[in-house]
Amino acid sequence: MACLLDLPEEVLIVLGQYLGGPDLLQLSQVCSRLWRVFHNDYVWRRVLALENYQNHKAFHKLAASVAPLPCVEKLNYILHTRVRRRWQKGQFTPTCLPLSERIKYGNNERYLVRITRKQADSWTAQVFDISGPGLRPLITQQLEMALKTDFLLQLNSILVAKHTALLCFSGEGNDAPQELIAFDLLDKFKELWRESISDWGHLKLPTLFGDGVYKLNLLTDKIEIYDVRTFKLHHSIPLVEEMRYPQGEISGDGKHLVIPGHITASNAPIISVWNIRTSVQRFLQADRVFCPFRWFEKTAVKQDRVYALLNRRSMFIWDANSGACLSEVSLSNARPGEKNPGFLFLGVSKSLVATIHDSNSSVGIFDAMGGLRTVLEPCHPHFSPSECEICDVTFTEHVLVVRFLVMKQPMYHVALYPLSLGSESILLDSPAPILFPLQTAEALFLPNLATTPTKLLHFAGQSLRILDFM
Amino acid sequence: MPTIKLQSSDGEVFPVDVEIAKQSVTIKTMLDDLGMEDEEEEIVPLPNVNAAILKKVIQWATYHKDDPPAPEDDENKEKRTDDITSWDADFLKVDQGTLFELILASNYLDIKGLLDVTCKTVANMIKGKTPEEIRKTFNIKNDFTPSEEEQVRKENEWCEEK
Repeated sequence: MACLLDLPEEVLIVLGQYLGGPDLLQLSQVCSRLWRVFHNDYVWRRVLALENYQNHKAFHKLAASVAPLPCVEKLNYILHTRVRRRWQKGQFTPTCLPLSERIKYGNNERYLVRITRKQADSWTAQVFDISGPGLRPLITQQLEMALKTDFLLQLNSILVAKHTALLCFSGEGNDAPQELIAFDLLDKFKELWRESISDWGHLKLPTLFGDGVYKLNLLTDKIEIYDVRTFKLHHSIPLVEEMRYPQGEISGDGKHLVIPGHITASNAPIISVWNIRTSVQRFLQADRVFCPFRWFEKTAVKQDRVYALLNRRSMFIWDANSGACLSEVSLSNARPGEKNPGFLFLGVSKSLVATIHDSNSSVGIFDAMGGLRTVLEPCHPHFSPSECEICDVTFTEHVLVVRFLVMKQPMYHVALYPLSLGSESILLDSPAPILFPLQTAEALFLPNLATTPTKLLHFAGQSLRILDFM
Repeated sequence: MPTIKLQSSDGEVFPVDVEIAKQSVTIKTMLDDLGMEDEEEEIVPLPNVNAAILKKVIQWATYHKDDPPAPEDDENKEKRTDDITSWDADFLKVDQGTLFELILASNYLDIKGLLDVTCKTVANMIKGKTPEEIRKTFNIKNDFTPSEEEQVRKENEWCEEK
């Protein structure tokens, strides 16, 4: 009589389509024949798509370096499930790096760039690959960086976009000169270009969204978008005369650029959203009148939706392409200038929005249409929510990360809330969040939290603490 | 209602309504291509299906004769295994040998509905089991080569909790 191994390969593949990734993995490890049948990239690409995993090039690259062809996607799937499990169970490997006035860091999903100042013009650049397990050193390079300006400039920030590191130097005060130097991370930290910002007149520091350097030039009243590797001007978007920009936090996702402002005549808050690919500009407004001095202080854009927080009072959601207002959510009756209004933006995932509210002790989770899904109150088991101040919320692919400060310790902690795959919802049926301490709070330093698909980076005080979930 | 005769690999002949037999894409194509539909005495040989299995296949096709055509598979949708009807579940309470013979027959005869429900049944027997438990269930020998064993070990290193 026939048995499982008598089935032809095409039928075994059909049978495999009725199994999820974990069961298919078990089946493929039964015997040589099943191993070979399911050594098939097509099968695993389908599983990755069905389980809503985002496509991380770094995972694919790592898988390709370990797994034999043609089964890279199988190991790719295993890496995704490993990272998901470790995020959701709070399993990580910690690393600590020194941080000081002389040692600065910048990162994106792939690179961690460390710049150490040795003497006046003498620096050391170190670049690590952080996309795989641990920190893999890539480059150590001595730099002689004599700045153009005589002014005493400090290395203010390091921005990393794709394979480029952008060092931003600035002096004190709004009108102080600034200098930017871009380096190639693919070619031994070779200098790509440099610009002295004193040539540009009064402007805001450029920021990176995707691959572009965005410059808000208030002398020419234009938004200028440059290629980060060549510093060639890609787009120059004239600002509208009838409006004042920016009034609030600019945001972008590489496709749309969102700048909040005011209509000069009426003082009404308004948002300009540019589609960078098509150069189409739309204006987003509330459909009713607010009292003067309200403004969109926080904005975010994701999956063609623009989110904006009006003075910690209402959250608006628009369709970035049509300009249609999808939702307005009233968050409180707090008035502008009130001492503790308590609504702070904002983490945005594929389909969820998180706001911090109620005196920084709880987090509201809304869906992408503004419907309240749940309210979370992360706090230390030995302290009440009122003794824990929530600092920020961030979504990764697998968890909602809430960082909070236990004021009496004082110590930063992190709470991880598991998300369903594709960030569609918080797994409310899961027990309490995973809680663990991060670092002692130091009054002089403003801590910063960054996440990559595999790591959580906490820049605070005298150290950079990296939690590796791969 | 017109009938045709299906002959199993061991020579047994089964008269079947044409419409029931046409649930098999293989038979339907044969009838259409060879113009055999009107020739009642013509026998369709099925050399890959024995009488016991062909009888079961005809029983399944007769029960499902009025079913709407099975929808095309959507590659991007997860396939369920918890939607087997009680009639099909009872029909497939057979020994493993018969179950796999039915899968082979439905694949050869190209009867999508029967292939789907039999694969679902086997998938339900696999779900939640370790490789060793699957080996026991289906009486399979662990015959990995040393190089495959090494690859399994590498895979499992990434799967392990550490």
